[in-house]
Amino acid sequence: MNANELKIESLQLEDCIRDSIEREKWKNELSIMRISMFISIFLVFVFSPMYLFLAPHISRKSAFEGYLLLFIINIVVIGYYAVAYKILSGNKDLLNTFRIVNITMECSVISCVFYLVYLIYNGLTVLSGPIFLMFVVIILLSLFRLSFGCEIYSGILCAIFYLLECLYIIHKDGGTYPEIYEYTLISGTGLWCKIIFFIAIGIICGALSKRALALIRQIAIKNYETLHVRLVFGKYVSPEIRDYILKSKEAKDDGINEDYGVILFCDINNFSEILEKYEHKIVISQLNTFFENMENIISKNGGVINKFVGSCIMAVFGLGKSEESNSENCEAAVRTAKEMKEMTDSMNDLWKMNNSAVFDIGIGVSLGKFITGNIGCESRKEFTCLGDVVNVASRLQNKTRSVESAHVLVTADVFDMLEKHSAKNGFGNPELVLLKGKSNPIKVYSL
Amino acid sequence: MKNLNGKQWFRDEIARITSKSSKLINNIKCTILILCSIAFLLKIPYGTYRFEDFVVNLILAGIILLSYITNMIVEYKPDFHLASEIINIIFGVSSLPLCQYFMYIFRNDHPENLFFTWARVLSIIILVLIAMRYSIALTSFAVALTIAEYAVLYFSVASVIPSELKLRIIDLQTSGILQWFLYLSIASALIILFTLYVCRAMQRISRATVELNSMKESFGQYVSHDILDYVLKHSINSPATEYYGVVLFSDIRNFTTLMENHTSKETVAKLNEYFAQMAFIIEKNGGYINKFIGDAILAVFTDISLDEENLKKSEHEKKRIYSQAALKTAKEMSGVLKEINKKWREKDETELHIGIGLHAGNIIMGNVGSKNRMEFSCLGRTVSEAMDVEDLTKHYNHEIIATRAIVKNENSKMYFLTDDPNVFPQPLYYVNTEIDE
Repeated sequence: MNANELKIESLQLEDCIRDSIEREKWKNELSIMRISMFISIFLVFVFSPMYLFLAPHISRKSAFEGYLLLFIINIVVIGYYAVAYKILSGNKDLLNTFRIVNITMECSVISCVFYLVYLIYNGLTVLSGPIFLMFVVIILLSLFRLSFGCEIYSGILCAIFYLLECLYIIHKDGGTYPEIYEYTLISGTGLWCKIIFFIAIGIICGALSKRALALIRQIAIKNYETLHVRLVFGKYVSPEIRDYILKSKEAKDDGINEDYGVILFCDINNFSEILEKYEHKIVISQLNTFFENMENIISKNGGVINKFVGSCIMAVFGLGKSEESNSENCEAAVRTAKEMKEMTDSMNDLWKMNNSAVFDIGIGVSLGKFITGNIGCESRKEFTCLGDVVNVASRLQNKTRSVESAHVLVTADVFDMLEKHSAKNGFGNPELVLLKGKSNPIKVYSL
Repeated sequence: MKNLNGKQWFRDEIARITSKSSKLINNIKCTILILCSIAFLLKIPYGTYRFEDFVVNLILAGIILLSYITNMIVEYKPDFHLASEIINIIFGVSSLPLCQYFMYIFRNDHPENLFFTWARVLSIIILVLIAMRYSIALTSFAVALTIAEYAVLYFSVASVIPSELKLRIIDLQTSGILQWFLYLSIASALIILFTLYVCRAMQRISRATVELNSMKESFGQYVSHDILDYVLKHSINSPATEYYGVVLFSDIRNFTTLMENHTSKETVAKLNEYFAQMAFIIEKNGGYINKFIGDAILAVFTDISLDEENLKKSEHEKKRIYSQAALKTAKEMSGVLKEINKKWREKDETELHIGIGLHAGNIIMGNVGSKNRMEFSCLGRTVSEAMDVEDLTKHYNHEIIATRAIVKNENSKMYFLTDDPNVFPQPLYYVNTEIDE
């Protein structure tokens, strides 16, 4: 289980959604800042020189002065964005503050440019001209903020700034306009309709960005569910087998392989009696502790748990490894069996003190060839190991019930594979036992 | 949902969203156009309402009518969808330049008014509304149309604008007009960018959905769909619960022989065919397959796979349902296996022989295991005893053996086998599959 999965497990759906929406908004805010910076650079280096110096009836001097002012304003703006970008990309928590500041900033900058154009040219040009479309651009830019509130805020702010500036300019120029523009520009529909439309664009864009937000939310839910199912899936079939299944599914592989390895069966021999004698809630929690510890031992030694069948654990050593590693696998399996027994003993001591049930475990280990693969049908599949070796291990485990004081039984094949001398410690002399369903007795060693 | 590929899902989703929003967009558009018409009609009380205003009202009314008509057609003929979108965009975008041009023609003065009016903002609103359809192609088309129409409009009147005015108002010069297009382009670019963003978000959803579905499918296959629902609904840490239920345990008698006579691929193929048939029967009869253990099947009949209606029945009634279902399943399994075997015999392949043990009692079911590894398990004496009963089928050479706990809830014909307490704590019965046939 990797760190990411651990993080997901402790995460609630709502947190997850909030988190990814915040991240999306943060990413978009950064993009907006990049776009704004780009527009500023474009304005100051490409557009304004063209606009100012190509105009035929403006003196070079006033054009230059105007450009200087514009240049200074834009340099300040670009500097602000550079600093803000740096701060925001390092700190996500400042998002809401920066959003408000950025919207205000954008509106004020456009207002400044607007006023500057008025100073350079005349009132009629700014009132009739396309400069007001810059405000619309600002409102549209807020689309990416994915927030209804931000959209409305920028709409209203633009409307207010534009209105105040226009009223101020009209007041200052005081009736110097030709009468024919009175209706279209000043008193009538011209000004007020633009104001209303600014707010209308704000509302419509707000609705649009709210919809986009719903989509982002949907993505978050889907991703959360996928990770959640993936996590639970891993818990049910073990993460290694899950990845194996998902990979073989992509490759349209039936995943059938012949493998050679060690199978270990471990069961609690007196589990049925315990369940009847003790309260089953407590027994199940004991069982979970037991599984927890056993799982640790098995994975520490390089084994994979294939499944839990009731109180029984089936583990495989050497899955997908070459046959040369067999002695290693056998040693790992025997070491695991010993550690499992020791661990159970120490757990039992503790449980005895608490007057809880005591587990009597038996372990069977065998070595041989088996088939691994996804077995079952379309509606229901299982990753299993099939083969005589599995049956032998299971029967050996069963045998520990009837043979006194033998908790671990290993086949002779496994024993012969042990190379290290220390691994052979603790085993008695071989015995011949007849396993259920077999016609010939086989040689086994007990620990 | 099962075999859906991403692209198709994406298309369907877009179609769903657009068809849902189409009406809304249409209503917003028509509301705006109606407001515009009212603005013109407001001139009547002042006596300034003239013929050209009437023409503009007529054009607006025509466009509103057209969009409603196309919407109605789309409802009956979904194929008409794209055509209706294009028609609506063309008329929606053209309405303003058209109105403006009529005003200009009829008034025969002030061509500069074409560029002064608030109609420009309205054209942006119309573009945003078109963007709500979330189609890059349609949005780009609308943007191009808007810009083109204004270009045509400008160049058709540019020569009429008095040069004195041109000097005074920079926006009436060519460089000013270029500005119009520049701002309009920036605004349009943002709108298109947003459309792209939304489309990408939808693609992400489609990918996530496909991934989720495939994950769920795999999960369902490996752990069963019932458990997936159970785990997603409850927590994975929900405690184990005790149920009354029937355990059906079946195993293949001669599996080792089968493995010896066939390659691993053949073995698994055969096994999968067998499992497919058996799983179908078990699920059909309301059983829940807890596990395939090697060649064995562990299935239970309990509340967990029962539907709402049957859950309300009395305990006694439920016991009867489970016992009957389990016995029926066992008989059908044996019957179906005979058919499969007949097929295999003809092909000269190894036949399979199974044993089925049936036992009823209390089963503890729930998630057990460690933090990293969970299993939905059935625990308890009933389960292990069912396995023992299954083991006895070999000894007594009967395919199906059931315990007294089953038989007392079942009225059908069962034959007494043994009541030796050394063999099994309960009296055992067998089903004569030969005669039943």
